[in-house]
Amino acid sequence: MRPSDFRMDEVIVRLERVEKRFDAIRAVDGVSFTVRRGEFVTLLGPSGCGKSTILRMIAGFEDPDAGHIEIDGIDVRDQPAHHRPVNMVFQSYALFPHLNVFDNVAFGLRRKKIASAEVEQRVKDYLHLVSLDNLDERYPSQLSGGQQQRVALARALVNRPKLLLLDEPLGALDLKLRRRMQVELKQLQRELQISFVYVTHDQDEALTLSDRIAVMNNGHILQVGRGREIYDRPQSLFVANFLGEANVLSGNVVSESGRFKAEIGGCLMPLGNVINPPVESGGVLFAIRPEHVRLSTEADVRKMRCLVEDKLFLGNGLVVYARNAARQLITVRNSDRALFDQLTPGQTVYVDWHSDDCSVLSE
Amino acid sequence: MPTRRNPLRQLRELWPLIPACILLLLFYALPLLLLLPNSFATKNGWSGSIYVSVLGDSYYWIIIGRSFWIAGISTLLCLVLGYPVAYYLVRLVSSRFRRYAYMIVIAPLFTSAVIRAMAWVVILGRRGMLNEALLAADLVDSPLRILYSESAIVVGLVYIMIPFMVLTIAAVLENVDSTLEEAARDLGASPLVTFFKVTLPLTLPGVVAGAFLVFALSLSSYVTPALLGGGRLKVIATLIFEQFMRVFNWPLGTTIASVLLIIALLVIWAYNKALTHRFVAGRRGAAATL
Repeated sequence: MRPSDFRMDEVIVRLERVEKRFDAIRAVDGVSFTVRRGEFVTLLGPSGCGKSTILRMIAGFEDPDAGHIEIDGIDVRDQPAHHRPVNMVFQSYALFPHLNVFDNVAFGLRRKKIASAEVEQRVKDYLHLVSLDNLDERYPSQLSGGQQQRVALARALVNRPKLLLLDEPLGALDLKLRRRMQVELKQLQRELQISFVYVTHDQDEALTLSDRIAVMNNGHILQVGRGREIYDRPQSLFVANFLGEANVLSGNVVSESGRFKAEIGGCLMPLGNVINPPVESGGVLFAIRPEHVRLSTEADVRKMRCLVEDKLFLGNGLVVYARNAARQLITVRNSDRALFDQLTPGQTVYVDWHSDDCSVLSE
Repeated sequence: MPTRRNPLRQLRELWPLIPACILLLLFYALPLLLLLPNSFATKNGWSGSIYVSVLGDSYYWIIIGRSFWIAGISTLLCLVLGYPVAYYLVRLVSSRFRRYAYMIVIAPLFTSAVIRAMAWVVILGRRGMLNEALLAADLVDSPLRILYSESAIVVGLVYIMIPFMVLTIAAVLENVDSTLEEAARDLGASPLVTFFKVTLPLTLPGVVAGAFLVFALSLSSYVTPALLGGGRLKVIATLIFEQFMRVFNWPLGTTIASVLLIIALLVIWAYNKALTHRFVAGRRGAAATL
């Protein structure tokens, strides 16, 4: 065994400029990304953004029109689906209705001509792993949605794939069960050290589970990074809005004594490191998360002067809507009850934020 | 646990069957019952002697055997030829052309069976297109005797029956989620293994229904064997026709018809039982909870 077999930074899947068209529609348009050993990567995006198509191309159900896909260092262009060292958990589970739980899970092992004693042992082990002991004889139609989900998971994992592909696997479960399965899924993934590529349109699920998230729209990957990075520093309007809530304010980037500042509604606000400062000082969009906006009633020339428009009590959060001099709406979310209670509509307040919490959006 | 239902209510729920039942009673069961005494009417009063003579005569057994053999082979060929067509219609043809593909499959049904059988006479005859072609290509020295043989009847029956097989299988395949086939591929099954382990077992109800339909239609078909089998190569249907319409021996005709009906029912019963054991047993548990 080569020493590199143990390296955690080893690339399991590499996509390079992959394209896929369906008639005139560019479902996947020049997508590149890598997944490392043991990594949990989520493709997050609205339906029709191309995320499932990417999964299907990795699995071998669709051929890319351009670009290439490598699995474990091997170009899989000519590898049919049944020869690829990956397994998939389908959104509909796709359990074989004519086979019982045991035979469903054993299906992959039997294709590999593994001795029946070992098949039996491994099926039992993996059914135990997903907490489904003693249901071997049941048929899929006799199981609850959550149980079917676990069978689908065991059926894929029992083959010890290099990579597990999951296509919205929890989409059909109710909220409570989904939360529980998220935790179990994450534990399972850590325990087995298998790379996961997970497709979802649920941002909470993506943030809960993933080591890295790739946000997709219209066949493009807009931003890849750890959940926190993407959440705190969205690079585009789409990412800012799709992942959580954001105040998106138009303004200009201005340079003041060597430092960049955000000019919003006539105020100069602090701005963190701008990686790609706009060359022309044309209009740009800034994104600030509602919970990152600081609010006070004390006058301060360095802050943005706003008028309170409305306030909402949400139980676990307090939301204040304020408008600045340029009549831009700013949503503030915090938990300072004392401050919240004394605010009345029409009152003057002052808002600002930490320089790092303001992102410049492209497009 | 299913709750016990009111028997009166259960009876009331049978009302959709009433029109069909009336029709079948009047035009199938009643004529059959009226005809049945014929087979027991002999010169010496009522007796089962005609049955004894039919069942004891190898002449009839040969014809019965031939009829079942022809129907069975035709059914098998329809299945082997029809399944791929059904698969193509449901899984492969682009949705734009699917409608036309279905129309092509159904179109022959709009032509009279006589015309279609006659077409084969033209093709298979001694001086027919096939023999002319074979002679011209120097593949044979003298014309082959294809017409008026069992093969000719089988060819004609397969040609006529195949749409029934295709449509029945396609209807079932349509309801098999193609994701299941993808799942099988994903788990390491080649396309062939996927077919035999997933697609075929899941479409078995369609295969069984199609086979029943084609077998029954082939066994009872008259026109095709009459035209392609000639006068000498008899099957049960042509034999019964002959007894009723040419020889006017109604008692014998009725007897043969009854024997055919009983054997056909036995075959269908056995077939059904064998299939239930081999394939459907495993799904009974699943069906129980539906």
